[in-house]
Amino acid sequence: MFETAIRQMRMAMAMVWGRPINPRNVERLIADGLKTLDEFGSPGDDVQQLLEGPFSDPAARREFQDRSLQLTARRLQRHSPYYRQIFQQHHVAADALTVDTITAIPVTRKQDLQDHQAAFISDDSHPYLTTRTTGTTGHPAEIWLSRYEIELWPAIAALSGLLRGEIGPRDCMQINISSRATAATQQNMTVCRLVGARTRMLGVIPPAESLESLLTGGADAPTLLSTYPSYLAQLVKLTQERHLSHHDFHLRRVDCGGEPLSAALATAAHDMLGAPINDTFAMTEVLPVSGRVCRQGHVHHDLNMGLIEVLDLATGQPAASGALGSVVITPYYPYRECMPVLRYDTRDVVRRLPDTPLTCELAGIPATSSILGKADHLLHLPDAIVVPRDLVEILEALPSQPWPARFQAEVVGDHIALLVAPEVIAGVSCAEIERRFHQAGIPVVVTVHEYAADAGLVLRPLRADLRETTFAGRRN
Amino acid sequence: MIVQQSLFQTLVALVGSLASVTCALLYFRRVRLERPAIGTFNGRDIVMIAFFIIVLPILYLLLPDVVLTGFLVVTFTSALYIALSPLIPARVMWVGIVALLVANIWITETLLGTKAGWQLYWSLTSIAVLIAAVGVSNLYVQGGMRLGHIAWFALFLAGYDAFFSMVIPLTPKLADAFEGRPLDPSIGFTIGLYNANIGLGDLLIYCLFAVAAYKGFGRRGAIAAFVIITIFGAIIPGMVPVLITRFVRQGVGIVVPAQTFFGPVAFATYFWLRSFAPERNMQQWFATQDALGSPVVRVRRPVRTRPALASAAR
Repeated sequence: MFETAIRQMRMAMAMVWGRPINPRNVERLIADGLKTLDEFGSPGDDVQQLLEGPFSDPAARREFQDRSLQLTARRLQRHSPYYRQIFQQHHVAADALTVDTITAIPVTRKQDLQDHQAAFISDDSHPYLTTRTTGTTGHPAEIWLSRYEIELWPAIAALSGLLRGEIGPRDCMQINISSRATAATQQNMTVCRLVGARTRMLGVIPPAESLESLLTGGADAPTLLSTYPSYLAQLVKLTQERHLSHHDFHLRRVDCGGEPLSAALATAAHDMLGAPINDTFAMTEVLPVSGRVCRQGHVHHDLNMGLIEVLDLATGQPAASGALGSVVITPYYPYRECMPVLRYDTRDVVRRLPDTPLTCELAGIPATSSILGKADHLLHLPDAIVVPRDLVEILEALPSQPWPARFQAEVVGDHIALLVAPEVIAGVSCAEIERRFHQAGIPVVVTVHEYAADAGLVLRPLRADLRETTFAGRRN
Repeated sequence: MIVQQSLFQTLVALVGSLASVTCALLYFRRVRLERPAIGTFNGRDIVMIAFFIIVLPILYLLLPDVVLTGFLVVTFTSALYIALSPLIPARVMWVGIVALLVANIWITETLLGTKAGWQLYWSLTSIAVLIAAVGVSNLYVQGGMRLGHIAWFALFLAGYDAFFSMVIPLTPKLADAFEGRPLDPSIGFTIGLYNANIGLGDLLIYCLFAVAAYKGFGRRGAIAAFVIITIFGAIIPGMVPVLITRFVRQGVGIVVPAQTFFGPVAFATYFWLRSFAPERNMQQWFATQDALGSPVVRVRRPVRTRPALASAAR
């Protein structure tokens, strides 16, 4: 009890003073958390406050954000060759940087990371492991992580997951994300190790093999599944084909991220697999900042670890209430060490919510709308902007259940020309699909691409297509 | 004379111990204290408490009177707050705590020359000490302290008490230092020529043992605790000066190392109880408490997580 309090104090002091957080100390807190759960069955009374921070109080939030920004900027000025130059060019004083003045610094884009990779690496850190983006929006970017980061992030995630009841020693996590996503897979496996859970790291293997894994092991079968929405869609379709039901699974939660998850797919997955689908936001370039999606579909970013801005797509200034904007994230020091970024433009588009108090289960944490798609994938009609999520939601709600929805969309004149795979129109006419889009205010002309299934590159890129083969898969 | 004094000491110790233990058990059954998000008692915490038990008495003897009183005020305020906050509205509670402590200090400074003054002083002190023992013992046990921890702790105190009573007379000196001072941490009373008391340390161990025994082993544990507290915690330490005169101090009553008698028996009782069933943890106790269906008082603090404005994510 007393030493746990001292460990918490050490961690809090490191966060407040901007000193490196000792990962061993966090790991010991995880051990304390496990003993607490063993003794009491649940964490103590202040757990929500501990996890979510004081972010519903505007003054406390502002004070925290300004202090964290200054700590981060001071370190960048000292140790990041790229940002040292940016600060000089734009006459930025790191010590005086605030949420209001940060707009003086230009956003960092993926192209900057690719062009000046070496200059982003801090001169006081030792790169240890590289992780690459999947390249769904162009050439992949490579992010270097230090040993400190790959020890700290999972430790913090494990502590938070344990206290929220999201993972425990009795769990088994099946990981169906690309094994090339080294940061994410390493994080998931380490989280499991730290809380004493089992891990089945499978990667994006043929869905039949993953489904088999979910079904085997009896009481020791996977209880948690970590995957992409498109891969989840394939698992759900296969579950339907094999006439399985939620009684056949032991899952208690499915974590999804990296792509838009449609409401129709989430509902079907919940019904078929018997577990709630937890939509999450994470991105390699801005790790460890992440976001959780509440039941009302808002994204609640973790404000403990980074500053979140929503910038207007046209002006680059803070988006107005209700407007579309790109999410720009600054991970704070001491969470990001090796290759830190400041004002990284994720190009993930959200809608800024109206200035009214939230009413969802995560109401204590500010939020944006769900991720609506990548800025480069928006469809600009003469009098409206159509976001990729709108298309996915409508297509995946069709009676044909075309999960994951494969399509290509482009603006032609005053409408969208939508090219869909043949399975999308099974049991429904093109006219019916067009009618549904028109009802949603989206003028669409549908064309069926007979060879769509073989032409993966033509259609919307899906992470489920990052397929990793197995010998078992080849034999079948 | 020594027989009457011993009988009176036994009576005061018995009433003080059993009243504290009974209140602590009732409190445990009905009140659920707040606990931190992470953390449960372990062996190292007991070592830390033992360290403070060794160091604090020396510090008490070295501190000037005013500082010692200030220290006791802080200690009692905290302990009373822990015990009373779930039961009484905050405003009433703080008025009550301040009134109790101020009255105790005022009586000590003005009325101790009279018999009635002494009796009033002991009554107020005893109320404060009883509530403190109930609150702190519940805080520890509800924080995860197990009977196993307490049994080892009691065994350590047996040696400590014997050593610092008979080899280095720290305990008698401490008793002298507190005598007639504000907020003497003991339950006591005075009638005629006789003056007797039992210290907060002893009461705390009895309350801890009884509550943890009840939590860990149910009714059997509670009965065993009552029996050994009565015999080895009150009667034998109270009557032992009749047989061993070295505990009698000329003119200032008797100081007996009660834990020397209680500790070994408490230790043995723990293993005896454990031979019937494994010790229940708090999770199992909560389940039992829910099954009993008796209403539980919990601390109700205002909700601090208010809804954020959505746009706060800039």
